[in-house]
Amino acid sequence: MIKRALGALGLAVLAGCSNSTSSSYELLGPVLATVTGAFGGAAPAAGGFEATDEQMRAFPDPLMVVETEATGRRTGFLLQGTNRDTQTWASQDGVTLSFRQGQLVSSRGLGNDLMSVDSPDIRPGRGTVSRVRYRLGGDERVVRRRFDCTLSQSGGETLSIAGLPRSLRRVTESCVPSGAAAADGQAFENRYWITQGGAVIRSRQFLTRELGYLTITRING
Amino acid sequence: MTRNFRSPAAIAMGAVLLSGTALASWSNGAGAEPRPTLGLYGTTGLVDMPSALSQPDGELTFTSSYFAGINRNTLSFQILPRVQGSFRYSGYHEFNYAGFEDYYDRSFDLSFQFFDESRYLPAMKIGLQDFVGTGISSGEYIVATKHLGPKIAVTAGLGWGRLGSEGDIGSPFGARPARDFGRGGKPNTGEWFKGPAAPFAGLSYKPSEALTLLAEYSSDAYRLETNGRSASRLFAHESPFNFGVDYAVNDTLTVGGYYLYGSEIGLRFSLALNPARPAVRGSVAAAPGALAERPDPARDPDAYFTAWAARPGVLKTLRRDAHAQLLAEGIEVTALSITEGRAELRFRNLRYDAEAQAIGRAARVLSRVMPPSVETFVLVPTVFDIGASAVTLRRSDLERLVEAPDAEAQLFAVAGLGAAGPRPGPADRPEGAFPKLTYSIGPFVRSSFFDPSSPVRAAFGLSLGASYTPRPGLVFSGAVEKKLLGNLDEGRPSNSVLPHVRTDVVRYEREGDPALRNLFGAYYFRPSDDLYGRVTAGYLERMFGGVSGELLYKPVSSPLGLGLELNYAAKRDFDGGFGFQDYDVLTGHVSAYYDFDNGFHGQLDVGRYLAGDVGATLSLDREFRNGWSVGAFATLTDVSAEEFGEGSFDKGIRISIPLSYFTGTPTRGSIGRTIRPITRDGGARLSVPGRLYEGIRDYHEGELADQWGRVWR
Repeated sequence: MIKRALGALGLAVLAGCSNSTSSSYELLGPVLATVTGAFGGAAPAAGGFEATDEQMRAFPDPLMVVETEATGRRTGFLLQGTNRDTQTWASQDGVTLSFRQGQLVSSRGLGNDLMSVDSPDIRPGRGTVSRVRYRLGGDERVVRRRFDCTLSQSGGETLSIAGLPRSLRRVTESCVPSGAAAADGQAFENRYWITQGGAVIRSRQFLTRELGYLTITRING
Repeated sequence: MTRNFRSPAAIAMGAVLLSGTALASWSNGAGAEPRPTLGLYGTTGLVDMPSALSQPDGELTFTSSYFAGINRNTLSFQILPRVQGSFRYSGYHEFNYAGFEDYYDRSFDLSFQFFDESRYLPAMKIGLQDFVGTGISSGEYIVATKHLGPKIAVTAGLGWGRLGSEGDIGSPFGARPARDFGRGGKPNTGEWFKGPAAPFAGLSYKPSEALTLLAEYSSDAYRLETNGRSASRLFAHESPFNFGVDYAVNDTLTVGGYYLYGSEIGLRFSLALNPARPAVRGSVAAAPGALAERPDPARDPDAYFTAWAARPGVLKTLRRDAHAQLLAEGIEVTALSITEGRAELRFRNLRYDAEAQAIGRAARVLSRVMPPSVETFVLVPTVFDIGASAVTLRRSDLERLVEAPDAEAQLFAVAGLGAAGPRPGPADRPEGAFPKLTYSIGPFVRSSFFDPSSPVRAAFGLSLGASYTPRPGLVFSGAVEKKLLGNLDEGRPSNSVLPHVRTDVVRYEREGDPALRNLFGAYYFRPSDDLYGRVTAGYLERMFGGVSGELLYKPVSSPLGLGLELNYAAKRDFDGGFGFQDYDVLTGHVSAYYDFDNGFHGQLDVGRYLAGDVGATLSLDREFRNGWSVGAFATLTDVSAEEFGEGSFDKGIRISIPLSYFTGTPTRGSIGRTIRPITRDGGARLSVPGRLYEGIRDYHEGELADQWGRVWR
């Protein structure tokens, strides 16, 4: 009897009552998943991005292909809108990424999102710049982290963009956390491949500690 | 602004190109903060002995352990970085103690880590175990723990009471007085640190992140359980040495296996949740729609023409568009007043537990719908159809800040927050907003704990509810329910000497099925800017019906609220029908609410309770920004401990966790529970549906600021 009570008490404490009566049932799934560690993120992954180079080149609107380095997963993004100097791109499943001068300055819908960035001009390709990132933490606080970044560049790399060769200049931005909370931060290295006109065509940018790096390719537009 | 999702080419290609965007399902690889092991008591410890370490702040753990017929179910909370509090329900199987074959006991623990570990000095903690009430597990301790490198920690301490029963070194602070717990429920202060003291010690070794090996010397002789007053022996105490293995299955679940006292095998499992460690790391729900930017007024002044406001049908169209787009975001418009330069939106937030998120999303929709000349957005979240506050945002600020660094803090600095204006007239309401009829059908669960003959009882059933809102602020609501299964009706009959205002619950369970849960009318109004009012009449709750009136004074930016509630209530018939019994009472309270800066929320209610007793209730909750709340309350009235019965006075703990913590998607739902060691008739309050304070304060400065980080989310 004790064992039975034990099990029932455990469930009852966690799931016994709610604001609305149906909530305890909504909850059971997530609670069990929490216990079994089954949480991965939002909706289960389906398929993947499967367009050919030809299809991408033929696409009439601006298109961005984003690949996560950790999983190799690719996703297509379309331009949602422009606000002053910032473009916001959206995927069909409700994720948006915003860019300023080709630099990732915010994400929405990925969990503990990057809320905003005070981004430097990386195009000179030399010198030291400062980058400030603002993230929304699990405790609902927006956490500010400042990074000291060193820029370096190398010229004339030829990359294949949607099957077509492009000659691009590479700028590397190596960032280390600075200030009082330096120990909490993580060093990262962003790379940008830039046209002569200063447009970032491809980049490998750090998003968050959990999600790692994104490789972002502008196809057209 | 470009909206490519609408271009035909994008739609045509979408199926090929954008099949399955899986960005949001990338794995969460964040490392967990190291957490010290929990012992068999469910408090921070080794095997059966405490350690001087602390859990991460806010850690909430539920532990169930078993050995030698002893089952301990413990809810522990790291109340503050240095303070851990626990509530435990223990069962002793075939113990034959105090007249019970199976003996059940409730106990509270409290410990305080008064010294942090430093390079040369150990962490030190002082603790009280089972310090209230009947106290068969009572013990006190001082303990120190020091890490020797990252993997090994040594612990040594001195215990009193139960923890000073094996190998004692004498009684440093004098003899322990005989226990006199009366009706229970009171701190046994006279016994603390009295009587024999005995040393204990232990060692933990952590060969990997998930695994911890434990060994200890226990100073608990288990005299009660192995011989002495108990007629039966639960186990043989062959050795003071205990050994264990602790394994973290994942972030939430840890399990322990033990070899105890030279004769017994023990098991433990613990679930751990922390408000700062959500299951889903942050919100993974869809991104907000765009914030539309208006043309530059210098270059395109014509876009800012104002003649539209006078054209027939324009306002109606704007209202309809806004209504449709807002509803898709979980925001229900109840009024939208539009002039050339200003739009005031009154809405019900149906979706967002982070209230600021509803504000942000509403502003984004208005930016897409309103003509450029509308520069001022006034957002009025309503609760019970009364304006809880008014957030005023300049549209040019929104456009300027939406992608700015530190956009949340910058917007907060320029947002105007004040009292909502008066309710607008019927012309500003979207079509179909009033009258409104809603209904719901769903399952319900009710449970009761701690009856010695059956520690957990529950009932499951279906509930059918409807509510009708003919005009803003006026609502008629009712619910009926039918049990499908359960054993809540098997409890003990009341032995209370007070009027049976709460202890007849078994008769309501037995005779009231199906039952009219409630049926009432309520009117909500605002007599002045900072004043909110409510009048409710009808069948208010399962056991009482009557009339209830409430006034709440709560300025939007003040941490202090003051309330006054007066009720006339009569006890309902057991059958859950329309009849009343021969008991009525005038009950009511004056209340003070205070939202402390440090995340604590206090409430003091002084007044007359359901049984006619007069007294006060003090509640203190620790509230986290994401909506987690863990607290305790106690009520003292002029009812004596003897009249009150077991437990001496009404008290309990309560927990509430937002559902979004588990799912990562916004919802107003939460799970919660109030746990009382025992429910008696003294200090009982009428349960009135739709009390003002908790609803209203959600949209006041303290709560809005707590989750303002989501305003752009």
